Amino acid sequence: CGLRRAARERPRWGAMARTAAVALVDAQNAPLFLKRFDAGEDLDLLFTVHSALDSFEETMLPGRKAARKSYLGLLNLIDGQAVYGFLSNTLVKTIVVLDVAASGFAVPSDTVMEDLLKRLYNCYVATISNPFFELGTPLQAPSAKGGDAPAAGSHEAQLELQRSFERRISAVVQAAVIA
Amino acid sequence: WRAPASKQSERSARGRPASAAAPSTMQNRYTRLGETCYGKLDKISAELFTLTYGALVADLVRNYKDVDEVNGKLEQMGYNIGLRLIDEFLAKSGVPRCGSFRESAEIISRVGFKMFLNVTPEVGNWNEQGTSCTFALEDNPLEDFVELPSSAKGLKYCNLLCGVLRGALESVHLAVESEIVSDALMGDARTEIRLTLKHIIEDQTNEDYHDE
Repeated sequence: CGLRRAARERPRWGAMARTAAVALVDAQNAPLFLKRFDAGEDLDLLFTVHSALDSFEETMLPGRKAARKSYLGLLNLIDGQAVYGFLSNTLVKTIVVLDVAASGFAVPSDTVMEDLLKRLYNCYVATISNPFFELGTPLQAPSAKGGDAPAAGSHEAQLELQRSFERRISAVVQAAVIA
Repeated sequence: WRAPASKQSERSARGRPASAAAPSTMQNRYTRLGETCYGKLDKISAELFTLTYGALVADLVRNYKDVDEVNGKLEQMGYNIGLRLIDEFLAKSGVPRCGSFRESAEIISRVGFKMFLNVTPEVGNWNEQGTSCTFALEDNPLEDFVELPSSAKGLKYCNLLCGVLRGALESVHLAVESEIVSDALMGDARTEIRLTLKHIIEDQTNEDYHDE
């Protein structure tokens, strides 16, 4: 009787893992962009991402550089969260954190994850290729602190581009079906 | 000899102008010419071109705060490019004199745009006199990755192309007006340039010139 209840409570095979967060980290390991899609602390996300950076470092060692592919696959699985990474040739790291506890620790296939990570990285490429985006401005839109008057023309333009980048990332994540 | 006469009457009976059959072969001929010329020319990477143009426009926007001034500058630059580009175009393609403005428009689209940008804009929206048409670019290589910020509202991003058309055609004695009537960056479906023939430039001799 107890066993049957457990079987009913276990989520069905094939239930989708949800994307908990997306992060982009630059070549100097400084965070470029962080976004949580579930309720949680930003600090927790930073911790998860930071611990994943070690896995990136491993592939950048001189011995393993030659055989390195861009898509690094599953880097980490802790606290019911699976961390996937993608390292571009410019050493920009794209990281996706999946909440797999809800789907019974079913880990999605590599093809699906590689596709998602590539599309997120392409959002980044599209945004910085925009001639009106000033390189060096942060990708992350500053969190709204009430009372700030709208900044001068070019700052406003950058803010718009930052928001549009965030929208693109969100759109890719919504469209992604991780089964 | 009856056969040709009946064909003629058939064509006019159907209500189409007599030269209806000719444009399609003419169009095919120019399409083929465009492809051959495109094949012969040296190529550069499309992304390099797009990013270079983007950097140029972004720089202009930063330096001249007024958007209309930027549009004017782009058009002027295009004009200077067009004056020189026409010689390159005529040398590489060897197209003969055009019989009509319609033919010119087809050549511009199928040979000119194809050779230099590898796109063939759709020529359409002709006016009654056949002196004005639009070139519709479905997929514009200049506009990849570009998102106009709201501070640049009114910026005609492809104004350089309008200038090129004006400069090139002026060198072959056609005074034209070209302007962007719809822009994919401003939310329209696609980018369209309207080209209007104003008049044919007659050779102007100096007043002091006397026939000896």
